Amino acid sequence: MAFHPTDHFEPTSTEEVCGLLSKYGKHARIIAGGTAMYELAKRGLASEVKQLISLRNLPLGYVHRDETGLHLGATSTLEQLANAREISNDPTLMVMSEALHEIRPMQVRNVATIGGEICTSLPLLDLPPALLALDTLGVVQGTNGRRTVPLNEFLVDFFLNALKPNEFLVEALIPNQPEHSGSAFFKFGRTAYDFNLVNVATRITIAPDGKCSDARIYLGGVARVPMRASAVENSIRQRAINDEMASMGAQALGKFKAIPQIHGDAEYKLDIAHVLVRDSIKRAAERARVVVTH
Amino acid sequence: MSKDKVPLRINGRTYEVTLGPYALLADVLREELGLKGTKRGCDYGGCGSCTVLMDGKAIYSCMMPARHVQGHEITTIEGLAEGGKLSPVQESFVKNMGFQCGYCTPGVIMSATALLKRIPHPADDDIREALAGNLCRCTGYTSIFKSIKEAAEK
Repeated sequence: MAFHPTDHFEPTSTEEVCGLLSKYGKHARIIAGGTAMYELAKRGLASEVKQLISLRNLPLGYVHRDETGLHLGATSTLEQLANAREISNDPTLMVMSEALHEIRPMQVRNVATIGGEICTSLPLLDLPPALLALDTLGVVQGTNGRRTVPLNEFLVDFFLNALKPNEFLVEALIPNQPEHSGSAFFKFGRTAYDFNLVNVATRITIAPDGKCSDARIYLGGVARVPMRASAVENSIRQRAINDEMASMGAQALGKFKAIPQIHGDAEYKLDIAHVLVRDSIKRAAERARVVVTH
Repeated sequence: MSKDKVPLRINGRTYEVTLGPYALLADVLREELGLKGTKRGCDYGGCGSCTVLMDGKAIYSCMMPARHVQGHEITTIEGLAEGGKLSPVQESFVKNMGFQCGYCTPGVIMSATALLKRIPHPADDDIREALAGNLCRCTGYTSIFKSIKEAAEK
């Protein structure tokens, strides 16, 4: 493994983290649970990393709700989030709960963090599409203070995020969802512990007249970053969603060249994507209607 | 390269271990401390042979920075037996032939131990979820499943 860091720091304040990032530049890398770092190191993508900056002594393992939405500290583990009542008790956030439970190895869930899932910017992960479907914002700390970045701008490319050299992610903020929203997550993988071949995260909002007033549909595993299915979203807006409409919506996905993997070529993934998009529209709309009825 | 002496709590004992910046827990357990019950298999967080417990929760030691377990209690397969007596989960694996070649077994037993600590009477789906990160190429899982169910009934 071409990975030979020379220093390991455990700062206790965000200022200290930014100071270390400024000092060491591209040779510094943030580490939280360590699973993403290991993945990068194994793939030979971290050979320039010399200074590891651990976030383990920063108080970023929190989950709390206020009037702006649900705040998820960057070092919250996936298992912590899977058990968080703020998520599991909120029916509009089902897409989150389902994505978290689809990350199967308990051994990963117990240490991997939401910050790592986001910052790795790997399109094969499950949580980013779910967060994107909920219009999540990344809260970024830099030397000159904090800024928020919509997650769809934060994930720039394969293994590339929008952080500047002296910045790091401190929080994911899920804004309050529109009333009468339902969401769903579907994943297709080869085995329980494999990365997905395709995943789909969908959020649908139903207006009082029963028609879809808004939708977010993101696919993982098919492009270099999670792909927004805007054509599908447009095709179901202002329509009443029944089984037929869900199928028509999925057709609007059209043909595209999905990234092939050893366990699924582009054509196969495209077929799977159509099925998952159809099913996730149906499921999310059903859930939104239940919310309306209650 | 900076190296420090770091105290690690493993199986109820404190070890002073000299660690480089990116020492991995599996290497420390096996190479520094001679605790070779923990196995390396796939080496990328997929097979579960390297599973140990951190504060009672299952983790992959192959990808765990050893410095991150400082301040936590690590349990390996060597730490389950008490006073020369196997733990109920270990006993059940022996009785039900929950292994064949045995390479995955320490990891599987650690995952099962974490599960029963969290859910003393797990449903079948709980067992499947807990074992999703452990591969066994011999048993077909049936005898592993039986071993865990029987240990939970005790």
